[in-house]
Amino acid sequence: MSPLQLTRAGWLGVACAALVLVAALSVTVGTRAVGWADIGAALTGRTETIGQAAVNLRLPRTVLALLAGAALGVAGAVMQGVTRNPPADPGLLGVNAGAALAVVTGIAWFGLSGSQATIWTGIGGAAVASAFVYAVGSLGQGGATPLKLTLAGAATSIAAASFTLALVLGRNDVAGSVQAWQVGGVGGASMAAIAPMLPFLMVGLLAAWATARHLNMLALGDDTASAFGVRVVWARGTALAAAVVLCGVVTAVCGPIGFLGLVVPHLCRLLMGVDHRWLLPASAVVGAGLLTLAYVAGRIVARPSEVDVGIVTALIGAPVFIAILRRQRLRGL
Amino acid sequence: MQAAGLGAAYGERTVLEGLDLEIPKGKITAIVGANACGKSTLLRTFSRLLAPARGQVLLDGADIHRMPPKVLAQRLGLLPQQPVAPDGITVADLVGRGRHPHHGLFSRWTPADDAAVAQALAATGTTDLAARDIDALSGGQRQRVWIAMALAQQTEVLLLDEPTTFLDIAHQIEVLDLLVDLNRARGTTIVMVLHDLNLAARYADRIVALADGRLHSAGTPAEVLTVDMVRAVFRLDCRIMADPASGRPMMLPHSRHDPGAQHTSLARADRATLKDRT
Repeated sequence: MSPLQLTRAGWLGVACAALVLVAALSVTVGTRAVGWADIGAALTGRTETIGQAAVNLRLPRTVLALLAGAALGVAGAVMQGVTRNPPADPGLLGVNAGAALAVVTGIAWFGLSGSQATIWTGIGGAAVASAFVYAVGSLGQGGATPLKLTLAGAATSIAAASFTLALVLGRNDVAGSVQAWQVGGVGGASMAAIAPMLPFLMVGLLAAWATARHLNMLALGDDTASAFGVRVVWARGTALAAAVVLCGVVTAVCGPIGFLGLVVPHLCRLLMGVDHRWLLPASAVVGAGLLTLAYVAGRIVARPSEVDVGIVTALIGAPVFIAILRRQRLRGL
Repeated sequence: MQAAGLGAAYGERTVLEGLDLEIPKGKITAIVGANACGKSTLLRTFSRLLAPARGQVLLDGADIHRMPPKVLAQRLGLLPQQPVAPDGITVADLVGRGRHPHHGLFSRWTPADDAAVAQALAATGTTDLAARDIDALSGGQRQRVWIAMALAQQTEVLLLDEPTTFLDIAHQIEVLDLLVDLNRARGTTIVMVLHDLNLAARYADRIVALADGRLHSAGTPAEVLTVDMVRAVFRLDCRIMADPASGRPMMLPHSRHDPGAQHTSLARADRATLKDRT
């Protein structure tokens, strides 16, 4: 192995170790202090004391945070690769907001319920939003430039969020359930709700991994990628589809969680370099760890109440986003 | 390689028309012409970047626009005019990506890949730069790295779109010498768009001159680089002389500010002297 590969493997190892640590923290630490005996008992499935019951709630939430974090991290890395746009993010490009609008519309007007239907609706909304943003961003001279995509995405995000709000405000019957969901959180998790996500996540993650090499070539420009035998439109389409599926599923179940897809790939790129065959797995591990950490932090900072992960990621993500833009001095925008 | 009745268009705008052209195997061919005459477009239709509106591009008799992209990319490489590299990519990583056409969806890196990359780095004199970031290189070094990436692709034909643009004269010579090395060592067929007529005449075995999307002339530098060609293609009066070192023709443009010159007569006189010498 070359020194670069050793460095990458080393960082990936560190990230995995940190992930295990964070997952353990997430199960053992929370708003309620639970003794080790109860934690041990709860892990074997017992729910006799309040402590054991609390741990039994933490488990599926932790699993959901791990899965959602991995999916959003990978989706962010894929979107940044596809658009060659460092500030790209499923949140900023309107994909999450589109998924949210679709789900809320479904709940408010079409009596949407059940996890399968919600997940499909989320994916559909994410797909429509990303297609719309890409179409608008491609208008005019020069095609889909990073600046136009970012502007179109931001505008779409705001528009979709406004529609969502308008829908919810007029409907007292759904406002409560939608509002909790809309902040973005893992609080409502149960193993039964997580199971239907798994096939979608599996497909999305595998498809993303399969496009890693193509993303490496697309990073060199469409002409170069094409000259090296990449079917550019097809490669970009499959990669985007993978990201849309991942975002759609996560948003349908957790609500829109912002900034994770932006911050995680950036962090990984600093550690790993720009090879997507390393960047994507690293984004999965770091994304899972970071979202779980946000879940832990949300329970510690506001004891005895909880802060949803959507708020924690926004608090961490917004300054990091500004730092990224400043560091790039808006290069490429 | 061969173009037969080739026509190309961007939307409604026709850029190339009725082009019949033979690119000899194992030789260096330079494409010259005025701005917007269709040089780059010709190169794009010669690769897979632009589908021709009419006619065909043949590689050993097979239409390249019907070949699977990867199969074509194993045989024919193209270096675009201004390739982009992501921030923070290393030379070794970039050159390694040149192996893309030789890999399937999940295939693993092989010793053959390592060998191809090492060879490409050595051939371009960039072995010492392997661990460096692309951003940290000079323009000349960067261009050599891009050529290394195209070499790692190991194709029998290499197309280059103005490989010397933005380089100072020393780096231009360095890059062109490198291409000649490659052509001699590996027998790679090289087709490049060049702006500088003198460099084209100096380095190419054959020159193709385009004017307004049509073939003006094609042949050896001595056959193509003539006062008439320069006047027809570039609307410029000039003198042609033989380079004392290489014997290749050299173009010296006339200026409106040359002392007392009657351009046409001068040009005619020079053509006569060139003929006398050769």
